[in-house]
Amino acid sequence: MARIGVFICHCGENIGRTVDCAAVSAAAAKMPGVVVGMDYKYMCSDPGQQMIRKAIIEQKLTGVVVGACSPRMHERTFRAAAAEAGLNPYLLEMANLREHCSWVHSNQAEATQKAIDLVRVMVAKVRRNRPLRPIRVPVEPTALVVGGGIAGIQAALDIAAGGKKVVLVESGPSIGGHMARLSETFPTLDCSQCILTPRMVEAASHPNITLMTYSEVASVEGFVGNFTVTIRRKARYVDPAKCTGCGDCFNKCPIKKIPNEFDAGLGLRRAIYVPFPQAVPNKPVIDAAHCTMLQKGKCGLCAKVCPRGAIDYQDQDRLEKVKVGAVVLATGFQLWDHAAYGEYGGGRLRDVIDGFAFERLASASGPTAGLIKRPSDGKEPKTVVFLQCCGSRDDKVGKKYCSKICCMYTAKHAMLYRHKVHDGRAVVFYMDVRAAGKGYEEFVRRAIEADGAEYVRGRVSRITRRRDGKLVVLGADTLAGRPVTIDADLVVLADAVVPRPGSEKLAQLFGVGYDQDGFYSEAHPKLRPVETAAAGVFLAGACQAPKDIPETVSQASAAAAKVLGLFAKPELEREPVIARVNRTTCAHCRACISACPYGAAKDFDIVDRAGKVLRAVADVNEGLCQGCGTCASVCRSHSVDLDGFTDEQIHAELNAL
Amino acid sequence: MKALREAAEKLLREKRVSLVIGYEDRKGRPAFFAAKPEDCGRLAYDASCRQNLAAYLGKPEIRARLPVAVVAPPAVLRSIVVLTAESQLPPGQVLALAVDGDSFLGTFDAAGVAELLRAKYSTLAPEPALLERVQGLLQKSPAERAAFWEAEFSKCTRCYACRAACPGCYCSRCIVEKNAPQWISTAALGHGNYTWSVMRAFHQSGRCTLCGACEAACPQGLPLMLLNAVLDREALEEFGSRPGYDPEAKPLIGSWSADDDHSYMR
Ligand SMILES: Cc1cc2nc3c(=O)[nH]c(=O)nc-3n(C[C@H](O)[C@H](O)[C@H](O)COP(=O)(O)OP(=O)(O)OC[C@H]3O[C@@H](n4cnc5c(N)ncnc54)[C@H](O)[C@@H]3O)c2cc1C
Ligand code: SF4
Ligand code: SF4
Repeated sequence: MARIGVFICHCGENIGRTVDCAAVSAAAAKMPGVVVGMDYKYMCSDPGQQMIRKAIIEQKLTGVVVGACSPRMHERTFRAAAAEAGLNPYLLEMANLREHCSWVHSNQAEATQKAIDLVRVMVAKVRRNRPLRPIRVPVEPTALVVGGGIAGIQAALDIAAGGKKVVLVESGPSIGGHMARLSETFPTLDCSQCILTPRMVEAASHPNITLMTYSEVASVEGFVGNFTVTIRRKARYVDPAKCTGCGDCFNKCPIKKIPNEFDAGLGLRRAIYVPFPQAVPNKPVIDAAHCTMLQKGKCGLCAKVCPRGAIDYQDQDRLEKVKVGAVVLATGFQLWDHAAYGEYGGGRLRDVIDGFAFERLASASGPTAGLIKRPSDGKEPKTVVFLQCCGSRDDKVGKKYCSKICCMYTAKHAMLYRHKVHDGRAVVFYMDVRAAGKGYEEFVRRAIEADGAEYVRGRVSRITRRRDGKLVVLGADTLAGRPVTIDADLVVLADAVVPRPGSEKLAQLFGVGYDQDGFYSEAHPKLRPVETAAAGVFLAGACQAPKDIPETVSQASAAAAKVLGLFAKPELEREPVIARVNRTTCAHCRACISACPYGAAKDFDIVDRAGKVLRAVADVNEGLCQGCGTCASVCRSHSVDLDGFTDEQIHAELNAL
Repeated sequence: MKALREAAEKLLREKRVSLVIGYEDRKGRPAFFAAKPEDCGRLAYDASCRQNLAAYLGKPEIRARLPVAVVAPPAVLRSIVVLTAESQLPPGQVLALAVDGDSFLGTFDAAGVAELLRAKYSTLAPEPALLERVQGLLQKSPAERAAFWEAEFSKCTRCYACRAACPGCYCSRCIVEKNAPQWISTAALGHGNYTWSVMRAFHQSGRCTLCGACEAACPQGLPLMLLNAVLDREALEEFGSRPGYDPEAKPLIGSWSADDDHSYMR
């Protein structure tokens, strides 16, 4: 005989204000199978939980319904309380009287009636609940980090320092990301390479880290604790095992005029190249699109000059599988293309550049060896105009959001410029200066007060090029209330921060959500900022939102801590809400096997004692099944049932209404 | 006709199959099971054969006698491909004696069937008369349509002849027979009838080859092909589904790809 206890929570006034909780518990007490009905101000508090535990023991309850908030909020809490009192936790169900009732209704009588109905539904269900046991799955204590910028490097180093293995996958030929391209970094102006390159080297040489550069994630199977990820190792055409990085090849390659992406197109590279001298690994790759040997079969010079015979024109993409228990996505960002702004030259004016180009001009290892020279004629610009919010905070052509880092790096740019060109003018157009960070406001003040950057509040409406090569910048000074025109030699646009191309595809592979701009979505904006909706997949760096280096590194270390926490136990406990196939009625049409997004539904042969196959059916792997129920919904003969949400339970719920 | 009989006889004589499932040379062209070479003289085929003989391939009695051969006009050939894709036919155990109109096209294994369909029948479209009936129905207002189906479904006696006639209905326990819980009432009236017919058609979406066997089998004359045809068109237009051509096809309901339209997820 069922002995059900019903416990109604007032949730302070949240439920109690609109629902007559005492009436609900009294009505519940009369429902078939119910032996106790009680209500209390805060069921989740210690005295509330104590009421439930006491009733379970004293009344020998066989099932419990808690009418309170959403099960997403407190199902765990109440199930743990039930378990403490010796009741299988899966014999407790929650009726959502808050989100589904009190919060969305105002008429007390009607809301109370609805609350009674919701409780009746759950009582009908819980009478059909069966005790379930959590599922244990072994955890593969290796992490996959996707993206080798500072975020990925930091996460990998921290996980490796915690004693766990890491596979670090980077799509480019070198790790380092955008930070490797920066000259000096706000707010302290330390040289970016000096603080980054030692970490790049450490990541490459750490015994716990396997570096896979020039590689991408091709497919993902499995689930938290047990992912199998297929990595596409792109053809490098250079055998890294043989190459010593001597550079004979790229010094001889006759294809010389390829704009170097690393230098924002300001410098040139060859068809066989390392992106920058401090690259890790410091071994070249051949850019197949530009190599005449690979395109037309003509040349082959690099193979001739390589003293180690490392060049292999027959090289092909290879697929490699790795087994990992957790994943950190750290795919970073790129800059929005200001070509969309016709009034700023539509990307056609050579002396209108973006922030990265300026970083490369200012960098000691850049194409101009740190001298500020403008791209068109190589002259030192005497007036430089910096434009903040280019493409940010503009929901018509650009992006609605604030890109957050541009105020700071623009101040840095103005400062660096003034340090290098003492008689030059640095004019900054801004909407607001958002310098909220430790030492940030001071940094901006320094740019203005000590280094003489001229800050003009207002927008620029037009940039045109005059015959003499000057850029005429037409703007408005909104504080003085008058138009301004500046004859500039160079204009630097602080373009908006946007996600990398292909980041949406990657998110789909891992089942991670993303927002309308393509940034990855965290599980909770406040309380779970590094987790994602996909268990075991974490986020680090600018792939989640625009971030500077300190924020990126903090999040990367947080993600590493989450991964290490997950790996701290050899096994993972999972909710036992999984699908089961009725082998007697399964027709083996394989619809569920094809539909299961987790590869959990599989073929199974029913054999006799002699091992002879009698019949094939579908079967569900407990370790992989996530209980999504997709299989149950495609099964025509209803031969799949979901533990905890069986057909019988749901039918009983519907019938109770 | 002669060629068909000879081919069937040869298969039995050479013991390549233990049974040939065909139509009998008799009024109404009922199904005929030739187990001996000398039975084959009684086989016949013409356009009046409405039964889809692939339906027998799902029955345990026939499965116990594999390998078998089936007399198959184009729609039945497609049913064989559907059944192959749904892992219902053990590889190499079913041969098709392909017929079309009055001509016999030859004996084919599963791979040969798919090839023949691709080569000769890739543009197979629903019969014009059926499409006309669908158009007529779609011109009615929703209320008129509801009344039309109300009247039609009320005639159903729940004999399940439609199910027995369909090769796609091979489940050993049909959902309508599930009783714990019972989702669909089995009483031959009202809502249960409605649910049964609509659900039967839904379960065929992306799998139906429009052979017409269900409608032909219905003793009450329900226009079942109207439901099938609309679903067929929907499956084609929305998902590009053309059931019965690819023996490796993934089921329409129950397949997805990373390239699917995800725009709704934002
Ligand atoms: C002009 C400019 C100046 C800046 N100056 C400063 C400064 O002075 N101080 C400061 O704190 N911050 C500065 N920043 C911000 C800083 O660049 C970022 O905070 C930092 O680079 C973010 O690091 P990340 O690793 O998240 O991303 P990224 O640097 O973008 O690295 C991402 C990495 O992932 C790789 N990747 C991408 N997709 C894939 C994929 N699918 N598979 C495998 N690998 C992939 C990329 O190749 C890249 O190596 C500046 C930014 C700009 C634009
Ligand atoms: S960080 Fe500054 S410059 Fe960048 S978008 Fe925000 S306000 Fe504009
Ligand atoms: S419920 Fe079914 S479809 Fe979902 S993960 Fe489990 S087996 Fe796969």
